[in-house]
Amino acid sequence: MLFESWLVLHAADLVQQAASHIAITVHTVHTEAGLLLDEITQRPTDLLQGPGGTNGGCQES
Amino acid sequence: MRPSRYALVSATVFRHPSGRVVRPVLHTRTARVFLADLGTAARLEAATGTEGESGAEGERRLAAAGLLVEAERDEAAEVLAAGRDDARDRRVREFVLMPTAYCNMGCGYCGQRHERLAAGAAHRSAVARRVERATTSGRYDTVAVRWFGGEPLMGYAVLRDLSTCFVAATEAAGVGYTAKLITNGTLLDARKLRVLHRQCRIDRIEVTLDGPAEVHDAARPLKRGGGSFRRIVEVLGSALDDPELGGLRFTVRTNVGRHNATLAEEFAATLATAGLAHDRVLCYPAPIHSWGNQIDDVAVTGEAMAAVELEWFLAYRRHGLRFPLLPSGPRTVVCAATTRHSEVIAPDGRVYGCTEQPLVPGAGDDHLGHVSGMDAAAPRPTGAYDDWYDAVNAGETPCRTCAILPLCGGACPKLWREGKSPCPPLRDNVLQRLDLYALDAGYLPIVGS
Repeated sequence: MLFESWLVLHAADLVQQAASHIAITVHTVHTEAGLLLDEITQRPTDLLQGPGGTNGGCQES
Repeated sequence: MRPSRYALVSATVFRHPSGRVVRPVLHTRTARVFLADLGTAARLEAATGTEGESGAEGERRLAAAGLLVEAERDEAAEVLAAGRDDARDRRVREFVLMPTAYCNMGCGYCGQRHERLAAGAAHRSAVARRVERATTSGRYDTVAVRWFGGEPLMGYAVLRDLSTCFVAATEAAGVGYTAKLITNGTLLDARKLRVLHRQCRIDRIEVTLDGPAEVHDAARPLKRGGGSFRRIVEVLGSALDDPELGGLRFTVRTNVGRHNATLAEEFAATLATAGLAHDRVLCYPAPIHSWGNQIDDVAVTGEAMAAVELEWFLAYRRHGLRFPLLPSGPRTVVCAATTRHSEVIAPDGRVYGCTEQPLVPGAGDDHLGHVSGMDAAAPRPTGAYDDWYDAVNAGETPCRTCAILPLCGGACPKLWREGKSPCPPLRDNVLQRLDLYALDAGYLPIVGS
């Protein structure tokens, strides 16, 4: 329910995003009849990368 | 070959640009995310190995991604061994420093006891000597300092004094230096921010805001009375426009409890209006947890927190705030308490392994020594949690069988040993977060699937 309510709220944005994504990736369409494995990991930004410390679940993380 | 125990497959199906139907897959061992065709997805969620339909090349690709592994491998043991090795071999020397034991706030859920005690001159010299010896040891590539408290800016002079020493020592030794400040934000202003960033070389500041203004001001009252939310947000917004602070990043943490769990939308809108929907501002909600104190009246239970966290992410998303939807990498060293290359130095000079021992009633005596009496060149003495990786491997906690162990690391050894489960909301909402991740990447779900 949560997932779909979010989807409805952002349907227009998502359609636009999907259209541009298709335009970008159309040349990489997989030709294998079997396996399709497409990595979509986003490269972490500086904002998401810590300084190499041990920040974690602690109160001061 | 069999599926990796760390391959998590969402039940939601998405349309791939190729026209095929796919499902998202998260490999928690590497934090990599994939879309896989339905046959492959079904194979990866099978408990046992079956012959794939993708042929030898397909098998090779799945194995290269870590999604298929040899049947006899003990992946949990490998994860824990990697943690043990990283804790032993890490080349970052970390100091968590508390320049004062005082805090100007009186938050009801805080587990610390604050008193007006600042680090004395002898203690400061011993800390500086310890950092200097770390820089010249040849053992470390980077010194990382985290300023913590109490409220560390109540000890602003100590922080400045020590930072000057640390920056000089690391520059002289050609060692990297990074510093982070964890603060309630009430004492920040433009002038201080420039000193902290330009002179003290602090590159990340974490501020706690507990929801919309009225709720924050009630939950985090100043001891002298009055609120702080509007001023903190204004200072952060202005800092983002200051060209002298271009390298400074902010994290906005929200301690989520019963008082603010349902207020994500209003909070996110307020932050966005203040200009904090910005590439240098990261937001995250953190459940209020026990420091040994009684928090049952204010905390949200673990299962409910998983749903609350999603609501907060969705509100962040709607208002353009940046947030970590999934961890960006595995967490080999779970916390400072599990590596002797990290230590916590309290305002009275006592050295601890864990950040939740100093200033905490009942835990303050768990120190490992005094900074003035230690061999300045040695890592901190072994503490109560330095056996963590072996203990988990031996089954002390259920983490060995948990699919998010590589991302979580076991969360909090101290809480486990106090008989409390510290499992993060991620354990319960990882698949929904994976779905949102695929959505954010621009893939459309087939609704009703």
